[in-house]
Amino acid sequence: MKILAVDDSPTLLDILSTTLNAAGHAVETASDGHQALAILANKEVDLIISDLNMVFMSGFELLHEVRKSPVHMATPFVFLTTETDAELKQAARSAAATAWMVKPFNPEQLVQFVSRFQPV
Amino acid sequence: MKAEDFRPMFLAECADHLALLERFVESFAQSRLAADQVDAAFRAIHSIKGGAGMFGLDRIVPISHALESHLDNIRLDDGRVADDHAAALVKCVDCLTDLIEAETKGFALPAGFENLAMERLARFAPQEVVEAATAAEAAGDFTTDGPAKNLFAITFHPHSGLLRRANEPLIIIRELRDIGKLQVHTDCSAVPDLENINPTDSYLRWEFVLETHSSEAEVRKIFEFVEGDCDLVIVLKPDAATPLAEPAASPAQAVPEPEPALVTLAEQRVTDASVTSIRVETEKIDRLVNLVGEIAISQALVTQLIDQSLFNANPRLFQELSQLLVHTQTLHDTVMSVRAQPVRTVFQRMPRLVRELGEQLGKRIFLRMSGEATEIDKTVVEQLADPIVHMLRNAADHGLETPPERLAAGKSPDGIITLHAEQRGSRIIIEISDDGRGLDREKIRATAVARGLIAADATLAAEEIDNLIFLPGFTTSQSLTQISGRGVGLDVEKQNVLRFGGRVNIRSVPGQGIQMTMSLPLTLAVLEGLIVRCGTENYVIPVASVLECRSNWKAQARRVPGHGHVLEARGRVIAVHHLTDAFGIAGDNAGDGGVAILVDLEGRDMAVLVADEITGQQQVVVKKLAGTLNAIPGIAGATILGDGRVALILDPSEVASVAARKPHDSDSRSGSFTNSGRMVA
Repeated sequence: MKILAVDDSPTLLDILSTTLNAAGHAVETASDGHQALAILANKEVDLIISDLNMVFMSGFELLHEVRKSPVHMATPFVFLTTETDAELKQAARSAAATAWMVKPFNPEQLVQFVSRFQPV
Repeated sequence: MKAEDFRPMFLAECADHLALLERFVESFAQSRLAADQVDAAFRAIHSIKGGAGMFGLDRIVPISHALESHLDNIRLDDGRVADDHAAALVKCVDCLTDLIEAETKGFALPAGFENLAMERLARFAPQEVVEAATAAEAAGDFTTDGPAKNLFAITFHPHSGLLRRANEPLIIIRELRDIGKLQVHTDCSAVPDLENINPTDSYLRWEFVLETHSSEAEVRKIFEFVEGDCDLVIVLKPDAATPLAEPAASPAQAVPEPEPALVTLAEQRVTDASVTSIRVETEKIDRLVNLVGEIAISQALVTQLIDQSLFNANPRLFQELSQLLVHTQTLHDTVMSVRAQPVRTVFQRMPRLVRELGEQLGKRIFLRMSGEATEIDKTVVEQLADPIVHMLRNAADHGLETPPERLAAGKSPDGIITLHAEQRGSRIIIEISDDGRGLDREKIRATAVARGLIAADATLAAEEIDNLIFLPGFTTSQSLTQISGRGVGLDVEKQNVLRFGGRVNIRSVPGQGIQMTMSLPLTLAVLEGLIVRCGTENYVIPVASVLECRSNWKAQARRVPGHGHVLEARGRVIAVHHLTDAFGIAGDNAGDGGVAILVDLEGRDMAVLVADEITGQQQVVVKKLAGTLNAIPGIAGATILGDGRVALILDPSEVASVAARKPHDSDSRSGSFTNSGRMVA
């Protein structure tokens, strides 16, 4: 699966790409929303995993931009965040996010979680 | 076939699972298991549990269930397991092994036999696990009493715009499947004709039946992101006992799940295994080996019968016969390879042993193993376990120091024992080394002198002193601890190894450790033999133990009154034994002349056996002697030679000791030679 991971923490990006690459996925990383959009402009991905609170552009803003793109209007978009706030979750749902995963996570859980988004 | 007919097969499969579990026991001790190890252990236990439930092995179900849940937790906890928890798990695996063995052999263990181990394990109650634990359960069977399960009927009718909000029903179905056993009915009736389909609209509707440990809230959470974009009804069915195995008679539109996830991993594995291997009784293979041996003999006979003139008359005969020879050899090698087993089958029991030894001795010991894949004949594998166990015990008990002693010697407090196997030529080498203190030569020497094994003023090389520990009766009472002194000394182990054509050597470096090397033939079914004649009898001496042969030996020999001849060879004075004397048969020269064969007895000791003549050297198929003949000292077996005659195979060390007890000339009571020819004051 082609996965785009967006997070301002290089450590987390590292964990994500190492774990998911090891599970056989191709992971692209972006450290902020602008970078992510630049990547998405040229590339189609199967899953986007994004942090909520990032510099320059929040996860919500990124999601909003992504949903405008005809290519990625239905691409699964997952928030990976430390937030558990129900209102934020509701906001994510309204903004057409696909799922919500709370940090911290263990690698096996992540791999299993991601496998659900495997395109048919 | 009835289900009951599969029971022996299941029990045999259990043995495989248990062998696999055994391998992880050592990893338990390291407080951490690799993910694939926990998975494999979990699957093994899970298969045992499932089968036990199916075959009504009611005592095996609860204990395997307990093990399974604990392993599952360890799996979720990233493979971490506390020391005492690991010990409790090991005890339970032990109990399970005993219970399965009892079932296999058809005896009953006392009621409550497993209770103690299970209570001990229960102290480490599995923590509440929500998602992944049930995911594992989903792959399994439901014949056993697990924690109560919930049965949900779920109606999921997405609104047409659900897809446009980037939701994907498949993801939800997968998530449901991850938490339990899921039955899916898809209603495709709303799908319009192709020309009327809007690809961004959702037309499908689903009814699910979900059997899971999860609560309704947890199930509802899965639909969290589609709520508002669908009609959702989740009903907890009161009758959770309704099994899911038989799908409810459903309308024709019942569509199977997108992926065949309900095939259990165990089933998958059984299918795979049945393709690549079959189980055969060892008896059949043994018969095959015997037959191949017979073929080799018949062929040798035929070859001898055909004389040169026949070959000249028909040149192709020679060609075809050579071909036959090649094929027979290949057939032989192939059949032997069927019996070959990796030494792993023996090695895998050892980490456990070493761990327990460490606990008993208060030492921390790490066992490093290598070469487990080395293959040897099963007859040898069976003989390997005892000597290895004994040597490991010695290494752990006597070789390795206690942690304080090690620290004082500037070593790491953790002792390391290495167990290594490799094939060298036609022999297999097993090395057991430790990084302990090495042999205390002064003490060994003192003990040997005290026991009258050597003279007080004997000058011995360091290596010779080391090998004294193999002498019968060496084991000192001080070293007779519970661990290594189980009434069997190293000498007995060494004799056992020698009996099947092995050799044992020891190398010690003071302060750095001891290395014991066992060298064994690859097979016990065939050996390279030196054929000798005594009078009218033929004997086979294993070439492995022959050091040298001398004709005209009388010129070099000296006569010792009362003890026949001695011969000087390799710097030692060695007693000469006549096979004719040893077996009470008449030879050509009544004990004079003939050929002297120097044989290796215990790695360092030697003897000279005298026969009338050496007639050849060939591979012989070893046949066991039946019944009472089996117990004749000095005879290890028999074989049929190329000319169809039977020859007895000699065990050189036994022959030497038999011969040494027989009178030579006169007055043989006061032995100033040991049977090995070592001079004793």
